[in-house]
Amino acid sequence: MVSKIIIMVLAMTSLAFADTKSEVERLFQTASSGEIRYVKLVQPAKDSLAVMKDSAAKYLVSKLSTTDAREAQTLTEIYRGIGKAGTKYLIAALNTDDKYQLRVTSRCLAEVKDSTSVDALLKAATNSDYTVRAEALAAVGKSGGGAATAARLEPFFNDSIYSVRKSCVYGLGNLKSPASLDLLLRALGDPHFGVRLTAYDALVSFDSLAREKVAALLDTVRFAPVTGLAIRLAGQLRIHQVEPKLALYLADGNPLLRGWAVWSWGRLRGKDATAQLDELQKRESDLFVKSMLTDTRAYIDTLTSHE
Amino acid sequence: MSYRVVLSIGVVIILACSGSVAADDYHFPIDTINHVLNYIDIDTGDIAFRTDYVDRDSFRLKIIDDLTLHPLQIPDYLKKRGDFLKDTTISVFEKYDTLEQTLGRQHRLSLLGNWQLPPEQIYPDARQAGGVIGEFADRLLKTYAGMRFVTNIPLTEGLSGAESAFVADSFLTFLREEEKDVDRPLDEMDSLQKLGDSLAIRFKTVGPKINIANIIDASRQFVSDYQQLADWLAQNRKALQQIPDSLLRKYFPSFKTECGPIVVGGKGNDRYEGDYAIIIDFGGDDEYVMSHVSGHRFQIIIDMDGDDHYRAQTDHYLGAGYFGCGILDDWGGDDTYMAKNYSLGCGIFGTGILVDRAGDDTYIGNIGCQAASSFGVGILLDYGGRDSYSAALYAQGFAFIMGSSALVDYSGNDRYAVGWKYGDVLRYEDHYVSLSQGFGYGLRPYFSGGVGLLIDGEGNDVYQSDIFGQGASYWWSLGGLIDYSGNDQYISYQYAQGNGTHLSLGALIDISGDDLYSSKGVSQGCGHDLAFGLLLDCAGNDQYNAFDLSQAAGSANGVGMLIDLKGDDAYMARVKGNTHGYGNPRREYGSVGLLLDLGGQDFYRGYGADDSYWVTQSKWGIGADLNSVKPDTTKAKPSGK
Repeated sequence: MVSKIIIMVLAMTSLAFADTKSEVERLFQTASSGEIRYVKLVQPAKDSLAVMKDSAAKYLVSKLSTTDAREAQTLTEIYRGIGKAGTKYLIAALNTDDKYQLRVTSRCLAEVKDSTSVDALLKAATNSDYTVRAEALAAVGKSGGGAATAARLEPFFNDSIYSVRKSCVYGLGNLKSPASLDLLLRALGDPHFGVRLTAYDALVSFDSLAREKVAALLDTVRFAPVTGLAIRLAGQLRIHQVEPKLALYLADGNPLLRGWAVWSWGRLRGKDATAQLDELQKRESDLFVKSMLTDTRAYIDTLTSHE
Repeated sequence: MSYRVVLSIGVVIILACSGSVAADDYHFPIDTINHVLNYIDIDTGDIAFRTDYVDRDSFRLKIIDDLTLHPLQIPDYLKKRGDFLKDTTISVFEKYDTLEQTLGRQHRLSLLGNWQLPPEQIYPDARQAGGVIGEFADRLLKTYAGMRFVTNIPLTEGLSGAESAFVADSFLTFLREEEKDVDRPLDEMDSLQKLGDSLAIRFKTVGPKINIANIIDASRQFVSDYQQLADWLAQNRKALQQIPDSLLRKYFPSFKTECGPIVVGGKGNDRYEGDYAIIIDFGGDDEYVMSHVSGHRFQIIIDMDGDDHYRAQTDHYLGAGYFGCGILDDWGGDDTYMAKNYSLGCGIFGTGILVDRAGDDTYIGNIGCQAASSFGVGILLDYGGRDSYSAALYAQGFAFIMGSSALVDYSGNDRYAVGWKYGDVLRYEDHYVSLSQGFGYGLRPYFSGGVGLLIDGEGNDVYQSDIFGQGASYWWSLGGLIDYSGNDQYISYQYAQGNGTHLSLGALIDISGDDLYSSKGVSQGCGHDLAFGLLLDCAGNDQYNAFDLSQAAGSANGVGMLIDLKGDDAYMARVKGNTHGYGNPRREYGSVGLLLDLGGQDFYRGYGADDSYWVTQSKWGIGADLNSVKPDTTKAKPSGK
């Protein structure tokens, strides 16, 4: 209630100002204030700017070159509120050599989620600065466009910098083109954990679309990091067809694979796994696997009978 | 060969070996860390950051880059540095030297021998008197000649007059706070912020022109001269203290020089007021009431005995160097040091050294004190006694841009307190910024910070800070706190106890004792925003209390580790969801949190459990309480990128 009143007061004050630019300045100063004293004014100021739509969007572009982290974050939140009304100004703002502006603008476009910005973002993704490339690619992934965009995103996985590959993989996870699955499976073996684990999350987001490929991976690969992640995916994605293979991993000599096999086994078999897990618990000596058994039993106990 | 000879050789070998083996419980279990991380598809090779997330400024220290690339080398780096700095057999100059080397600038001296005798006839009668009096006069003459020499080294060489004035007038605004900030209206605070930004942007142009080599050369030469004087005084202390006060007054009257007066005080209770170049006092309970005079940039005070009271009436005094070097060396007694800003072992564009060799001492300062530095070295060495350190901000092992600082307290039950003056206008209405107690600080987003260390040897100590402190850092810098022994208490509120924030590195290492750690959040092994935070406790029955985002928490692509090697410990976390091995996502991927307990029967309130592993539901975190269980040797994945 109080915040609504504040927004109304701010909005009425805004109307009283003939100079919109000055008003945007004033509101932005409040919106980007980091001081605890003004915390109650911050969100209403952001909201006021968001409802101004086009008139705020066109003036706020002058702020996009900021080097201040708080101002950058404030801009992304405001443009998220402005939405697609801000796209044309943000795309125009990508026409710069200023990498701060390129990064912040990409971040704003990522919040706007407008597929019409993909071309401009992909151009920014060829920038010599890897931080710009990473931000632009993450924004591409959030902007949508489906398989067509995914196909244009994939070549960036060859980048030598992990954060760029990570953004690429993240984007592919958002775009969910089945054609990207092979690349994502390959990314599970990336040298950088950020890429590997982002690829894992991306595959999880594919849900049923990824099951066949992950199952095939378990059949063909025996390489600890990839296999370990594939075993986890089997449980996460409920890939029942791998159960025979997974059963073998329950007795694997590598406790990492054995432990995660237990984890997945519980997720695949639910309450039906109880007896087998209890039996494994009796003879298991490795602490990690024992912990996974305990954790999985606790998980199963939370399940209702039909799960 | 008789059995006695064999026995003697054996004893010698044993003694030699015992000297080379670590005599404490320190150990950093890198293999076990790797082993546990493997279970979440991470290895120790992954615990690394890039050095180019932002544009490199001119003042990034090489050691910051090296440790950013290899943060798991931080514990050994800090331990080695701590062992050296707390070794009482190593001279002040050698300690200065190692801290200076942190700055990574090659010193170009030796200047020794280049100086000339001053035109003034200093103590001619004393020099002719011969004996210890004559030698003492010669030593004073030589020290003064060195002081004249370094005074003439152009420390602002390379800067125009306007640029020199800008640096002198503006730089310290980066290290200044005002209590009234909490009451300033929004537009005024915004204007001040913009002003600060404009000063920083100008300093980006002017700063790199500063001839840091000259600043270092001058300090180095001066500290070397001081060391020679102090060594000679120590060797001849007894003879000097036997000189009757009447003879001292006759041979060593106060002598005015272009660098300030030179004064020799006897064993009585003396009072010094004003500004001095050199004070040598042989004893007594003395009172120093000091005021800095512009233009006097180098100073040595050596007080051999007595319960002394030092009071600075202006900034940059009492073991402080500002475009210069100040050294205060007190050899005994229970002393009180009351100073203002940039004091008590503070070097800014220079070096400040405060050495107190005995007694229960009290240190009181405001901003930038008790081992603080920027573009220089700040050292406070306290060799023993039950000491109390209090300050408001940027203190107790604090290093700003191009700074290298160390507060080293060798023994005694000490109390360190910083804060409770300048409100934290950003986060809380009822908390205060500290940025102290082994703290590295850079000026975001413009300049990297330095290396700030707080090292405490023996004793049951209490550390108190509020927002930012206790082995913590902010923006391309390193903060380290090492406590070797004793049952210690660490109390803070946020960003503390082994915390790195925004691309920086922070570590707290406690080697033994039953310790208590208490902080609200972003603490106790927490790295926030591409930063690394480590809390390593090697032995003792310890208790860890926190509310949230602590106790092995990685945030915004940071890495947080809490590692306890021995003892029956208690880990208490109010919020289970972001503690005990936790990582959260930012920039479309996660962070890393690792909690590792390798011994004892432990109690957990939160995610962990005794004698188990746990993988937290986060991106990405793991904990392990291995107790007596040895890690197996799974080859979970190859290391290296």
